[in-house]
Amino acid sequence: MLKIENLQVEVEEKAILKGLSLEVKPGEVHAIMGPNGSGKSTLAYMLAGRDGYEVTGGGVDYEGQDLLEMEPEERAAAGLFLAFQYPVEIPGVANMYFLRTALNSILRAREQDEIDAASFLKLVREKAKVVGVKPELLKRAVNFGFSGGEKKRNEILQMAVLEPKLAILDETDSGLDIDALKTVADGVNQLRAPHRAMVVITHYQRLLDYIVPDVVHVMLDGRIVRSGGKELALELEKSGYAGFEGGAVAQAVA
Amino acid sequence: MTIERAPKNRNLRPPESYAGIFAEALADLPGAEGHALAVRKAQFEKFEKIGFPGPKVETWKYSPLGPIAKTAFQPVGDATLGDPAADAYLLPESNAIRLVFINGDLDPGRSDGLVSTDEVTIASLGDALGQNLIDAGQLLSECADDRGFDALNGAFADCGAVIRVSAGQAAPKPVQLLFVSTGSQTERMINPRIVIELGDGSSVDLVETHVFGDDAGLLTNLVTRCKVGESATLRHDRLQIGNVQGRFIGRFDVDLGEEAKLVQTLATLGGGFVRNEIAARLNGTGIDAQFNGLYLTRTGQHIDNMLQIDHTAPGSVSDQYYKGVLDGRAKAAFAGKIHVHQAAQQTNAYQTNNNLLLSPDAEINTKPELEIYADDVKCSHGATAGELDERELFYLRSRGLDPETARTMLTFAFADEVLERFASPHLLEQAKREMLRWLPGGDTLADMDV
Repeated sequence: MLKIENLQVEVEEKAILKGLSLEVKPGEVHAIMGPNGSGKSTLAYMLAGRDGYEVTGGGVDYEGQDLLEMEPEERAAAGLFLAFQYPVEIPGVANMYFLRTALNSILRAREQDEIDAASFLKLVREKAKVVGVKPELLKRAVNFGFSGGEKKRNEILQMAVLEPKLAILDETDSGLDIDALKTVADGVNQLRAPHRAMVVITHYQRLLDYIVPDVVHVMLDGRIVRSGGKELALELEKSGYAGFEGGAVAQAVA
Repeated sequence: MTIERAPKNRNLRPPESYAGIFAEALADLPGAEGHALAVRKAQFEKFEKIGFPGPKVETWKYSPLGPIAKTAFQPVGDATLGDPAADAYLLPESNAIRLVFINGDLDPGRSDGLVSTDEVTIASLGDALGQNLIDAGQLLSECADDRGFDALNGAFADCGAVIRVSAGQAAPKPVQLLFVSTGSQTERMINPRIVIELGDGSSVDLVETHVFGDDAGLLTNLVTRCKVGESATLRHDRLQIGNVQGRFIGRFDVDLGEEAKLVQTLATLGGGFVRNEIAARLNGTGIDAQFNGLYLTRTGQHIDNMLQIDHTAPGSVSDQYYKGVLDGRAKAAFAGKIHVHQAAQQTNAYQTNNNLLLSPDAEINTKPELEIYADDVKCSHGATAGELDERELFYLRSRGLDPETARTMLTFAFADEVLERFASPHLLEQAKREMLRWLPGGDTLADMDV
């Protein structure tokens, strides 16, 4: 589904990703763990198509297409979804309206019929219940004045409504208390499906107690330095990042 | 060393032909006899003496009058200029007392619900003068001393309204004043005069709509004089809409008494050259005065908002909140002055002017001015001019929205925040519809509020 090969990316002439390779197959959940500054968020934004990144080498194939050639909205239409670490507040645009516009934009791009207001209302209410978004938040402006937990749940709600093929969750656990974390994880787990893949980016092992990954990658200094099963996350929890290849360099920089 | 210079008269003399125009116009103007005639003549003399602000007058620096100061405008009188589509802008009959003016002429068919009792008077300018509902001097001459446009208006006032609510009373319904102009091939003017008097503890909702027609020839020179008594409430909405040709210069001048409340929201969505002047004096404690404004400006339009807020007594609040969206080679100006007099301790006075520039060729001149003579006050001002937030755009696009829809949605949201402050839900709806027409690709967001 997703194949990243030897990807090298610069931001303002500074190398951030230094030859990153990763392959994700349908139905798999991958976790990418790494310390601050290892390039995790850059990878997430890159995949979603944000401006300001210069690819100096390597490439990304998504379902047989060159992902890097696609606009952000084309990636969304092709089933890619990024749950933001810092969801953006949009005063003046009602959450529900935004979601319907997003869903219809994607349906239109896929040459499918748009959803009418009544059917959408039913759909969004169901999904909101599943991911623990309070009904009143649907009427409020997108993320505007939401608590940290409400924003993260709102991201998962968007994911549930848009039903992506590949979901990237960028530090969805940060800033969540344990109850919110469980609700969010439940929402994510309900979306696990044989045709859907997920990449969960996180700093801590904690989230992976609730979203159990098939593969865990350790990312340091713009590269994946080790991959393994879910037990790798536990190992990391004990030893920290210092024991891994390149860890000494990362620490020296820190 | 200072060099004393004789004060220069920075005003321009009006064209001489105004004298003849005035003499001829009197036959058609309401209240052109007896005391009212004397008042009009005095106002005309004053106008000739003061003239128009020249290009060096600071408060007109960014909005030079150009041809307006050099043209002798004729009143519309009985000239036929056409019958524009006014009905679309009428508030529903059951919801409003309505006074409708087509090119400055009262349209009795569309006007509705006028009253004149001890408690509430809502009358046209013609009736107010004809039936002596108000002293002609108070109606036509009470306003700014140094403003030629006020005197011009006092001399030529041909339409408008008197709204008076006695102490403790509330106007039974919102009042709509709808001014529709078709424009004119020749240079003509209308001079609406509005007088609002709210007794202590009274209230009224005023909805003012100005619809601009196709031709640039017509100039609206509006003067509104308003007194809001103690603990009285005025909610005032003004929507300027229509083509980008009309010319409008208007002054809203208000005195507020203790504990009075004013919520004013202006939205300028049409008009070629528009100047909204607001002058407010907060003369007591516990006053809450909000001044909201929105301007959407495109190539060929010049929109200017100027406010002067005077705090003369302690313990009141004023808040100016203006936003602009500028596209193409649009020009706009904003000047907001807060003057806190020495006696006005514990004043809270705020000012915000945020501008969204959709094009590199658009121009905004924004100028805050604070003059503070009291030492225990909270005053703040902030002005911004910028583009849409890239992070917000990316967020919307990452959810599948195409760039145009994303831009339109964010622009709408930016501007809508001001429109939502309209007191009248009908006006809000009209303004939103117009805004969606205005924005590129706005029709795809037509059901935004559903």
